[in-house]
Amino acid sequence: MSKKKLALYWNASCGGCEEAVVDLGEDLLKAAKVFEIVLWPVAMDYKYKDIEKLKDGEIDATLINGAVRTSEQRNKAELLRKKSKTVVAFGSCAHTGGIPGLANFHRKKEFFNWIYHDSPSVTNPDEIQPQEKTSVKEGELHLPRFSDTVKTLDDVIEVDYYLPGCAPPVDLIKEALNAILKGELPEKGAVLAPDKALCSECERNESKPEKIDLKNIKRVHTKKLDEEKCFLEQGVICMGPSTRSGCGERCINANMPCRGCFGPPPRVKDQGLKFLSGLASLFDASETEEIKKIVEGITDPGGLFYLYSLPSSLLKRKYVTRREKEMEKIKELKKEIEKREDEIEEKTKELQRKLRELEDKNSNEAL
Amino acid sequence: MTEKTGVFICECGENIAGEIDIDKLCKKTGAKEGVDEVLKHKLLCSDDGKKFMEKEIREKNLTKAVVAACSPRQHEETFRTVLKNADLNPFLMQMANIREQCAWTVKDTEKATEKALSLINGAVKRVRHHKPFNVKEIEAKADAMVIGAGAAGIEAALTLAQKGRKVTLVEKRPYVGGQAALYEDVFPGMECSLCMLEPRLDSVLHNDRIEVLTCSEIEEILGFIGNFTVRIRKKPRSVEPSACFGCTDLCIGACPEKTENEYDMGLSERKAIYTPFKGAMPNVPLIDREKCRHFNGSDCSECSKACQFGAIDLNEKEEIIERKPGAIIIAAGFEEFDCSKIPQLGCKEIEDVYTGMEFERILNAQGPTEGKLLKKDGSAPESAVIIHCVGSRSEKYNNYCSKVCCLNSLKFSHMMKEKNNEMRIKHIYRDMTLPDKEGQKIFDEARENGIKFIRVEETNDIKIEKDLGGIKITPPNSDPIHTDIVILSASIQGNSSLKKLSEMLDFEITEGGFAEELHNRLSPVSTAVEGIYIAGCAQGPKNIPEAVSSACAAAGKILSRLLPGDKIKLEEVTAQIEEDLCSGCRTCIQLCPFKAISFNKEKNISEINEALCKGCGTCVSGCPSSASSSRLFTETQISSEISGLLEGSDE
Amino acid sequence: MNNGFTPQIIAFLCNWCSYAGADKAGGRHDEAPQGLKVVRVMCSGRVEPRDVIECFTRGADGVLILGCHPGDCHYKEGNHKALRRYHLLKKMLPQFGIENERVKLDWVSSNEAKRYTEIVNEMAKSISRLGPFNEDGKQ
Repeated sequence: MSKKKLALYWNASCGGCEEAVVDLGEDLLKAAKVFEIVLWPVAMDYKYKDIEKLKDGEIDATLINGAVRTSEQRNKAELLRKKSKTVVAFGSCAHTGGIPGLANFHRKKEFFNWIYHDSPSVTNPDEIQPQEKTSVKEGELHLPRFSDTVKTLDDVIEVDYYLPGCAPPVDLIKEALNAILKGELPEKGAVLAPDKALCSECERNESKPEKIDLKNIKRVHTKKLDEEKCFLEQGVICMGPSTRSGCGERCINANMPCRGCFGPPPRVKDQGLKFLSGLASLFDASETEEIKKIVEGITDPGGLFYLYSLPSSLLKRKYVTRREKEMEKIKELKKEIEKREDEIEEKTKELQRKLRELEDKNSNEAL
Repeated sequence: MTEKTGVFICECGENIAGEIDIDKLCKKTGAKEGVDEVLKHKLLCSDDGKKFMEKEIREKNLTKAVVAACSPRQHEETFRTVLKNADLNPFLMQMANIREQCAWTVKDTEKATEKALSLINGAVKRVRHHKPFNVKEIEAKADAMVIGAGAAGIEAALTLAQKGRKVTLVEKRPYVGGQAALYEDVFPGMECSLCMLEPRLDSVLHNDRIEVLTCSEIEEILGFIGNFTVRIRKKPRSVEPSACFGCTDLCIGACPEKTENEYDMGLSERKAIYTPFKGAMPNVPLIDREKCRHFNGSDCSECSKACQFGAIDLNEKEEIIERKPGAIIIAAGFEEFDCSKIPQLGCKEIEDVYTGMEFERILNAQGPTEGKLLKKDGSAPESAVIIHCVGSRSEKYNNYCSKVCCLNSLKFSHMMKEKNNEMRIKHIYRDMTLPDKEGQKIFDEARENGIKFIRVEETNDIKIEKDLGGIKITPPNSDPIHTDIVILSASIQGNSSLKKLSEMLDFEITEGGFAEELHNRLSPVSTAVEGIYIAGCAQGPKNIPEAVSSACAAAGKILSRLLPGDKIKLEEVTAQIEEDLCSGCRTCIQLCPFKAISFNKEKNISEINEALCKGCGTCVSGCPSSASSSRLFTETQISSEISGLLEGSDE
Repeated sequence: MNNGFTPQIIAFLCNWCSYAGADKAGGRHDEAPQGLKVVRVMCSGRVEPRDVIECFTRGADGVLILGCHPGDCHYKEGNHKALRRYHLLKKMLPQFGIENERVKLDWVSSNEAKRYTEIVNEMAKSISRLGPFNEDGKQ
């Protein structure tokens, strides 16, 4: 019987998911024995042409990690979808957008301006930025289109399964690979991790009080954390109640609160908004002033509640208000005016110089 | 069976038809996705309209209905009943308010018609996700328990003791009648308090349906409406009531141990075996085991030897009794503010300075002076000053008015004048509270009788000192007054046992230690916990008729809610927690205002008791996993309604 | 600056207080904004941040939550719970480019018809000034 074909690919990610696969250790060799790996850029030398040559659906399973924000990433995702029977969104970035997803609080313009000329360590007086198309005498050069919005994998292709986590734990990866091997995968669309939120498996839940009256929210680095009490009880934000379990509480065991990398539990579409509601429910305040004081303790709610899931949220990204657009237009016009004024000044100086020349010539001739 | 949704559009006479183009609305509604039938009628809530609706549901085999008409607050029940009559589950319907929210508030006909279409579309998209369900019923006991046998508790017990019901009346003290039994006279008619109460006390003690447990306190309360389990700690009286003839002279006469009598506020002594006061009911003495020599090392049994009827039982043990009532009324009453908290008023320090309750006992014919008005040294006082608002209306103490003490103070001055018309009596007060039909008359009569009234800014700042031949009272920024006796009309506050009960039952305690009512205007005898009611001064300061009224109200609530043999219907729109999704994070438990959610330690999940759930939905919105969902306000239903309302809105 | 734009506003009204107040305003024939559409809930405590944001993603320009005055809630404290969620949501809204005026929470009792009318009309006016939410997305 021929081996099942397996492909691993990466989009906008950090490489941690690749390391997670390598963490299989000796089991990786076992996997190589039963799977034929047809694509794995970080480890092997196959080319895209080889993938294009395959028949549609020839790859049994493709594990794609990383979010999607360039046209190249989108094209590769679509190609692999065509050539694969099963596509698994591997890791937080592919599943819910991951940390690269936080870029959705800004636009391409802001990034490119900062990276390519506004940053204090960059000298780029001509404000050159990467372009999709650049003409040189030899022809045209193309770079992938970089979009304003980071997307999850299932926003661009149909995804069959999700393996959550930043990065997915080794035991879940093993289970998934075994399931693919044996053809024993659950119903399509499933997340390959338990359904209940983290609190169901957290050791600290047993001693958690029935009433948590949050009066002060403390940031993780501002207090010594008790190793046994529930983080919320200590006034520290832990995303556990709105985060799927299955990670083995690696962070909790290292005395750090959960940050939500496994994404939301099954019924929750928007992890950040659900957690926000649950957290506010614990506030010990009823008047506006008291509530606002507690809220002050959360310096960056968007970045905290959507650390791994902004592209999968309801809003997906920051919207540009009419006022912002108008402000930008004004800024551009001002720049244009400055440029024209500079040009006029230059021209004026040039004309004045020419005039002086002529005057001198005239006076010399007169003499 | 395929879904078939019918939209009924009511013209409401001219109310809707006059402002909206009904025909255009019908046509456009019919074109909307999910709408199978559009049926209009002139007046759907009329008999004809209701028959029409029922007929159409049956004939057209409708599985869901949208009724575009007036406000659901007006006719939701009406149309749900129509569905029931048409054999369709009543919850498979949604109303669109196109009258109050549209026809009556949008001036332009075209705009109003457009808005009505949106509102109908919202309802159509929502009702798609309605699922049938039935209102649950649970078994319930019609028996009741009343905690506290004062004026309110007794009234409640007597009202509740109807055919088919049993009442357990639990009283901490060894007698029934509460504080009122300790008074001599009550205003406005100066009636003898105990005489007034006596027929009622007798009734309650001899009623077959009422079990009176004196010397008893509540140990634990578990359960919910219709199904409470109460454990009561019954302390031993040490005297067998059925054997005791009530002579009380023999056992008490023989007892060698004396101690302070707390029912005389410490102004007199009693023996270790005693009756609280003469005439206390039940007329059976009890042994104070803390003071009795037999229970403190000696083998004294003088009382037992003296009793000719063998009624003393020194071996009686404390019992824990269990009762299972369907509802409970808390009528634990009030206690007096501790005046020694204001040291400059000299309470307990200066002789002849008395609190209100102490003075009640002095005036009482069964009290420490047998009703004679005497100073500590035995002589008769020639003057008296009554100070109002002690411990009241002040942020430092109880920041509310106790309502009854002004008239009570006027009662005192009236009674003193009766005993000695020559007495010079002054009231030092802040404001006069003279409610009800007789208040003003009592005040006018006092003034006519030469009683003086001195108004001051704050009575809690008065200084009271001993003086040569009497007591000197100095109000702030005022000349001192000299007098023989002083009475401090103190604030009343909730009985201390309310705190323990509030912890057992999860109702709140307000300022002054009173039990919190569910709604201070419209639900003054209910608490947030269904099946637990409050009556009398346990809820707040009251005079006797008010206490009796509230007791009747609380009893009435129980009589109408719990019918013998009947099951009780629960709230329709309750929430439920899906076991497979609940992570046990317990966020919902602290959210629920009705304490309807509890934690199951074995399964590590939270569970909703549907008998207590009122369907507010706050656990649904607060659940971080969406494990809690509402029957009629699900996430999908609300999202669909929003979608439907906003569809095509940019046209 | 109206440009003929009718702001779509979703108003969550609680059955016992604000919905009753709105009914009363209707009874008085007070004019209400054309684009104001009501979602009836039993208690303002049932409304959560997700519901508010769903409104925006489905085409609303503004969201209004009206509950009972503090102390009057039919379910004891549902309105307080709504208030807590509301303030935390408001802190996060600027990060998403949703202007402060687009989401509002207020208290209306069952006999405050006039107050209801003022609040909804004021809201429509202020949303008109801001313009549609996600203009580009809607075109």
